[in-house]
Amino acid sequence: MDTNAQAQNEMSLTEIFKIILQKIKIVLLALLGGILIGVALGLGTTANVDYYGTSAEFYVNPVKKSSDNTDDTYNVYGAYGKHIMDNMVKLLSADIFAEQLALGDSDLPPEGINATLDEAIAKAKAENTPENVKAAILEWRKTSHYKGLVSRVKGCVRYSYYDSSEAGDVDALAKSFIYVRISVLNDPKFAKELFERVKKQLPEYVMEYMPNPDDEVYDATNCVLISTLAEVGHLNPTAEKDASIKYALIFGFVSAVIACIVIVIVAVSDKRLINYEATMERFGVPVLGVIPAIEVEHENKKNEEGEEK
Amino acid sequence: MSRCMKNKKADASREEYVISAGTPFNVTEAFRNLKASLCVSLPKKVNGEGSVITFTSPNSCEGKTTVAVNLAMMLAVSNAKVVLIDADIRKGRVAKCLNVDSVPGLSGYLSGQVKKEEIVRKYSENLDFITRGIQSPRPYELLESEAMRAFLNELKKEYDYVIIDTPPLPALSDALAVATKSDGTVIVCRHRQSNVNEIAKTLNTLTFASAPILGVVVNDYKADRTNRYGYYYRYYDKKDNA
Repeated sequence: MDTNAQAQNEMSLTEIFKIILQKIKIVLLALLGGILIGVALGLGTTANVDYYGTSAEFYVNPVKKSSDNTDDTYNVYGAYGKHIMDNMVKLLSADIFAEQLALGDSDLPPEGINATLDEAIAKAKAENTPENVKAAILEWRKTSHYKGLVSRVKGCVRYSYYDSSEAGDVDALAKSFIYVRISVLNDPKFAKELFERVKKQLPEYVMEYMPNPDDEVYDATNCVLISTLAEVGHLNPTAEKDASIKYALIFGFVSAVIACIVIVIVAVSDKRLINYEATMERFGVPVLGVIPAIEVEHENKKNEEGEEK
Repeated sequence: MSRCMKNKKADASREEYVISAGTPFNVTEAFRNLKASLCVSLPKKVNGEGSVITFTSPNSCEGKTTVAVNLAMMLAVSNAKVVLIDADIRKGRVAKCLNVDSVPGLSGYLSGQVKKEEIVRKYSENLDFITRGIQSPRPYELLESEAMRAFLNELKKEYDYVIIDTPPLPALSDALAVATKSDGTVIVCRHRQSNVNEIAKTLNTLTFASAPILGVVVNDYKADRTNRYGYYYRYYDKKDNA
């Protein structure tokens, strides 16, 4: 018999696995709880978060001076450098173009914002001069309505271009596509209206402000919408389901792991005699007998009933 | 087997359990197995003397008195001459288990107040018992005395087995005084209650005192449905009752 009766606290991986397996119900409950929390969180974070919009592509190309070939609209020789496309996209992203989109077809801002603005608008309508129109626009720019509307338009529309140049090579040619991405939160009507305005105003703006890469070769810019099938739609129809699945997986996994850790910690810190075979093997002491548990009250009652009979 | 709560009021209401005709098969079989294991573990005596077995535990309420009493009964049933001694002079419960008075008992004999014939009482054909007697202020000294050694030597000549129930070991040294005089010590632990560190401490103390250790008895074992030990007894219990 081993006289060294020191208890050992080491726990092997097999023992840890057995401990977790014994409490598998707790782990499964934790997993289920985590999944439910994840689903609830996913649904909660995506409720009433519906984005409406679309993506559209515009082809931009310089028009050659030889105007005999009027069908030379889709000139595949994209002659714009990366820096020109970069500047154009920045111009589109600026407040000034957003203001134009906000105005829409009208040259004048909407009425009813404040009295001073209404006065300026009325004067511009009565005498439709560029100065009066500019005065009304300047007055509108002072209002919070302008700031709110222009910020909203800027936030809902994103511009980019196709960049095939290698990194660091600013003079490389960029293919002449401008990409527009419209995304409006919870307002499909505004999304549609915005897209219509972009379709109309972006080509005009680009054609007006795009620089001429070579005056001797080109004399104009052409810009056309090439994604004619683009329509405003619900951009994130599966957001609730995706978010629920994502959070359910994360929370479920984390809950199960935490449950396993807690189970192991509780088992390790539980110094009671549970697995007597392993314990006595560690002590090097034989187990002479194992007396099973018995309910004393139940047995006493049975004994009394036996005696009465 | 007896349920025990850890406060003084509840201590008075602890119930003892004694094997009877209505005891479930798995319990009686467990005690039979314990009896067999002990008989095998005990060192052989060439001079025909009986064996002295001490029962102790790491803590109170582990069930050592119940195990000691029922084992003594089981040994007596198999025609061995057995004497059961309650050496827990402070709080022994053998008398309560057997439903007898605790006086006169061991403490009275060791202090010279009563005779041997007055304390050795008959419980059944092969089973005698000695209760703890009156509470003494110096139980360790009584148990450690030469009178106790001589008494045990005398009992060994008359009985096949001398079963001694002692107090918990780490808390009190009384058990050590008896364990060093016995042929083997059995440590009774309660499943899902005994502290492993306290069991280790008990074993260390006995080893340090050179007291022979026979082994451990696991009491109040609660088997789950997947445990083969529990399955075995449930199977045979059903078959017996069928």
